[in-house]
Amino acid sequence: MSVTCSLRRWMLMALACALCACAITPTASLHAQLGGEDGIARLVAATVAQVHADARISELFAETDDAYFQARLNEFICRLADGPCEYTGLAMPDAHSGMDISEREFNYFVEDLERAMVISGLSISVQNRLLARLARLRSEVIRQ
Amino acid sequence: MRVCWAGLLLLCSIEASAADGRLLGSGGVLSIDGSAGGGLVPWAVIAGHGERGQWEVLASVSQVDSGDFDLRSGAVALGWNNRVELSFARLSLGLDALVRANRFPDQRLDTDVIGTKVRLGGDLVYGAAPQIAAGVQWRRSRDSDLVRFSSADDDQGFDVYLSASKLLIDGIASRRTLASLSLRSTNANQLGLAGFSDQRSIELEASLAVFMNSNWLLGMEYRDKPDRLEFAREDAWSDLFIAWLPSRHWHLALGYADLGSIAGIGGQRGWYFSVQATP
Repeated sequence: MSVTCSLRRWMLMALACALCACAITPTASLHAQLGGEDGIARLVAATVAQVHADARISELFAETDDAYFQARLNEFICRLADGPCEYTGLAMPDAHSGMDISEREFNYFVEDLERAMVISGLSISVQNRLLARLARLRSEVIRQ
Repeated sequence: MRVCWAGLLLLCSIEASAADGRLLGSGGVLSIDGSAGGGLVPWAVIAGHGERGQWEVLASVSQVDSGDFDLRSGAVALGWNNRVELSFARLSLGLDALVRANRFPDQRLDTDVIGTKVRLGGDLVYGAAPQIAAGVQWRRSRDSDLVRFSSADDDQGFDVYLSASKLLIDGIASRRTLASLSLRSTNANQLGLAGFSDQRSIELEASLAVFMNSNWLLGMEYRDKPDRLEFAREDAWSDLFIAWLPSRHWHLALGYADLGSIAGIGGQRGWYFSVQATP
């Protein structure tokens, strides 16, 4: 019994430590963690390069006006990250209307964005903070 | 076991690409029972990385060695449409300590597990709801004379389980964090390796895993088990593991497992190793 108990106690302690670590994480704004306007611009440029190079979804961006798309995506991520920006593009369902984006195509974009975030030198925790906010929008993006 | 390795090699030689519709790691690994999840317990995920319109075949081998006993498992699974999973596993318990003590006439106890799991709803990653799945595992001992000799009521049985799993992208320490809970109705003794009972019970299974980055995760699992055999106590199983996911094709896990008391010998702990491959 003591053997099993000690392992279980160890597991509980590990869990408690992990939760503590969570509680003391500093909460700088995501906008600042992304590197402000410059950082977001670099990330967006890298993301657009990744999706164009991704044969699985490049078709979806074939007709895209890159300059317009990058400008709107900049605003959108800035706003999403609590930055001082105004998003002037279409609402998510309208922006993706008629594209009929599937669950897997959404995930391919997430992978391309992840690669772009790695290229941009963002830490894992900043990557996840941004991804978590974008993930909430999936239902407004797919199958529109 | 040799057949399993051959199967792994065969899988890897097939010219095909892994289903890629879901994020890396979202299919867990094949557990020792064959169902996708952690090493010891199922999660509500469908094996592999397939989304709608994709399917995938996976194979894995696992081993825990406690010195007195060694538990091996070879498993294959098919994931289809991110909806249905079919699996087969052969569990094999080496009884070195009992054979050495002349308490058992044979070297190993083997049990086959045929499993199916259906995703009922929800999504592991997206939306507020957890992913919910239900599964059945039919179990049959391949040593029916021996399990009856060990006072079990039957040589076959089945489990029914319900799992709920959620992956938080911005979880513990802003790392992706997967939590999973399952309830299992079972009549198996030691997963069926020690036969089956006339009675059923409901057991709780839980796991928590944290992705340190896209390719490495740390986790822990707990599997409650019934304790019905008169001659030998049966304990809950638990483990701590680290898994390396270099790609969708290969998943490796190393852990330390506590299997409690087996066949009357307590303190069965040892290293756990598992490798999974998909073409």
